[in-house]
Amino acid sequence: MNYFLQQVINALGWGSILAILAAGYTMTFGIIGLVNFAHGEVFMAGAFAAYFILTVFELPFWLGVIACLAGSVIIGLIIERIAFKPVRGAGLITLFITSLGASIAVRNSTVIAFSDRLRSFVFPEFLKGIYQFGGLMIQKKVLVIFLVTVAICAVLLYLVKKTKVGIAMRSISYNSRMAESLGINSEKIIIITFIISSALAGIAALLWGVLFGSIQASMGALAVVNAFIACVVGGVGNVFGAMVSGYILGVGGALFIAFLPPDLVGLRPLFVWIVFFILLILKPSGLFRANIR
Amino acid sequence: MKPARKTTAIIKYSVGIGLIVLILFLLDKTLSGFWLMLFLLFGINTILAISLNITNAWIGFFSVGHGGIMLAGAYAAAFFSLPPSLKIGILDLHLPSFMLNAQFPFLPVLIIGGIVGAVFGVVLVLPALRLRGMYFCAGTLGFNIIMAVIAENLPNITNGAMGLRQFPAYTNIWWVWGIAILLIYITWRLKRSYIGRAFIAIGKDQDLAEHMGINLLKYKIYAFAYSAFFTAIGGVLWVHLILNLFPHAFGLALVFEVVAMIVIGGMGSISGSMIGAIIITCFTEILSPIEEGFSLFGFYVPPILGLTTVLLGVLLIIVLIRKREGIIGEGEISFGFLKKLLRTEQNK
Amino acid sequence: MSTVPLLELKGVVAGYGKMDVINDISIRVNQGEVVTLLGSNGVGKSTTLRTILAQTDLKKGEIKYNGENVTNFPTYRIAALGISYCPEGREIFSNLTTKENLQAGAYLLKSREELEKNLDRVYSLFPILKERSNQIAESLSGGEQEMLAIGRSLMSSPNLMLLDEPSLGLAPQLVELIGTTLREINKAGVSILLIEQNAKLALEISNYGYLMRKGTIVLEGKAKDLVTDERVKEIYLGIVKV
Repeated sequence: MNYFLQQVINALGWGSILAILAAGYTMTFGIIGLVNFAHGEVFMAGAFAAYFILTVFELPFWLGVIACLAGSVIIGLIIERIAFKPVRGAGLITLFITSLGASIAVRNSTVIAFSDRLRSFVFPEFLKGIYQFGGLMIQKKVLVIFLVTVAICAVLLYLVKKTKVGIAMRSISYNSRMAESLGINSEKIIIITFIISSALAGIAALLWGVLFGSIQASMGALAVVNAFIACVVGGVGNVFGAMVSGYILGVGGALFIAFLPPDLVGLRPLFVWIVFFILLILKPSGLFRANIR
Repeated sequence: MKPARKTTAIIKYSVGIGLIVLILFLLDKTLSGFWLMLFLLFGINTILAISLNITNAWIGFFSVGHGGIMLAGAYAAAFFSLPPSLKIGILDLHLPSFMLNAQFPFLPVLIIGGIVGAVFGVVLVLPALRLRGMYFCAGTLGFNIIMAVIAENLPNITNGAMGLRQFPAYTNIWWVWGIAILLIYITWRLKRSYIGRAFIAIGKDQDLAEHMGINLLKYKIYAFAYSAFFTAIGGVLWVHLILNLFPHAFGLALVFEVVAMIVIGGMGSISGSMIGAIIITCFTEILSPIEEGFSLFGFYVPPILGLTTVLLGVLLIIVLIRKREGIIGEGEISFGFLKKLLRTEQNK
Repeated sequence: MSTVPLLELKGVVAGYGKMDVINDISIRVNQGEVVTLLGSNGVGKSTTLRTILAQTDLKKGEIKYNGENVTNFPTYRIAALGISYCPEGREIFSNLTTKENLQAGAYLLKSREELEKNLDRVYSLFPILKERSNQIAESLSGGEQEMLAIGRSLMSSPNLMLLDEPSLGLAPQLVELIGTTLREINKAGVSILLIEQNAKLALEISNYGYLMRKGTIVLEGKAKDLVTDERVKEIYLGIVKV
């Protein structure tokens, strides 16, 4: 039992990262119906921006936070303007192809420019340490990541449920033509959504760097696949659903690995796809209510 | 059919086949090296592109799992085409003995690969069919990852990440283009047949097609089986050309290339697939020096991995913005289209 | 009372893509009026409303609001002028609750007090909506959804309401309720441009009417005159070729 709980606690870090990443992802998913493959690269851009500020230039941590937000938002907006805006309303397949194209283009360009080697991320002093309680241990960094994530999720849920902007977002997700008839400027709201979504990816990237201690140019690929599945599991466009699913996939994945016989450890990446297919068979629309028609 | 008409038809077909055989014979004798490789790749890509059109364009289920299908077919074929000395002696694979001792000629190998690919294709697509458009698409992407991970983690069967080599060099112009022309012909006939039109009806409006009495599930399975069969054969041809196979052989770059072919050439069009295939084949082959490093005017340019894919992505975005339906669009190349093309040239 | 009409369409030709649906449409709604567009299915009544909202491809003509030329305004700016829309088929946001749908309708309001005031007004007009305020809108019945749609278009304190077939598919008591409600709304100063298949209901509450056929206006006049005009019936039923 203790072993089980310990695995759960250890996985809270990864679960939190997925929760934040998926929450942002599902927002763009819902609002323009787009499976945005380039979101992984937005994520990666935030990590690299923070990496340069913190590890290369060794500036204080709060500057790293600003850097990761700035990095992802800028890359996110550039990708949106170049790859999505010109083909808006062109049909989902076209959007998928352009997002895949953008993702590959950005990722490969980064690999070309910076190589795909692992780069170690500086570890901030104030996050060192381990707490103990009962028979269980929790690393200080995991605890901080978890608490930060919970706080961000609370703010995000408030934004989506209670504010005018949140209602506008969800209205556009369901029926953008009618939303416009109510005076909602959908272009403006879409850009706001992209900014929030990219910023969340940036934060998730910073947390990744802190948790795993290293980043690489292709980190977006793994992250975006997990985030995509979390979004579908949670119900497309449903921010709460995406958060919960992020934790399910993160913690579930850790438990899956923990209980896997050692010679099958290579099957680790399959966990999320197994969850995906089980969901497809049982409840294709997602665990929670989706926000699209 | 009246006897006279029947004779005319037989004469037409014979002449047609004769012509094709003659052309292939001449090409076989004259091409070599780079040009031969280009022509073979063009053929394989044509097969892949036409197969992909059936599911992605005709029935409207945009699948990107063809990498996984090719992998399944290639490994299945490998079990029967690799020399027993390799399978038993060197690699010690834990396969049933009839497989270990077998080294079949190409035709059965192709058919086995095709059937295995078709089975995998259908079985894995079944649950995903309940997803709508975009999510189906992204879901099938996982198929590639799943197959690669499985291949990597069963070293006793597939030799894991080390992969397989010593493939017999079965692939040549006759096999590649024989199959390609066969596929073109069958698909062309299919497009005019009830089954083909049922496929297209499902793609245009699923609910309406159902109301017209088309059994959706049955036809979707047919479409995926047909598509996966030939896609897997494409994989088998490929593997017996480059003579090695490993779990990540048919990765995202290849998947994307085939998608680019049908999008640029025109989704749903057979001639469009061919045009897309030749464009992408030339594009990747001509740019391949970039991936390996080359000398230009005495300067050495180091390998820039992945640049080809980047440029391909950019090309794709440009095509999608300028002419969304692709070069030919939905229909087939015809005199009307060529005339229009010539007229715009004259007007310039 | 201002002499400039609140809403004016002049010679409007519009449709979807290459296809023109309405041809040379000229309509006027004066401040405080209820105006009806009549005609059988497919003559272009809905297209006319959607053209006002900039949701179609306008080829020729102008649209003026309070004398100002608004022909090229995008949809959300048209709404910001004080025009609200209740489309055919209601188009409520099924993923939001009843209350959230109403809040969406109040998007353009600046003050919290005005939102609360309008919310109370809508709840007093349609008490059932208050009961269902935290229910997901998808679970409402047809009549309740219609009330929600009308309520939503009231939330922005509009000057002009565009309503497309509000009584479609509703039980007779509800149809009566809608008619009374519209009369009340109009009495409070809101102008209404109404599309109704139910010509009797429409003309009962209207001041003026336009009869459309095949994308053009074939007849217009004061509502009380149209009620007794034989030609209305004939054109509706397609008996007389116009």
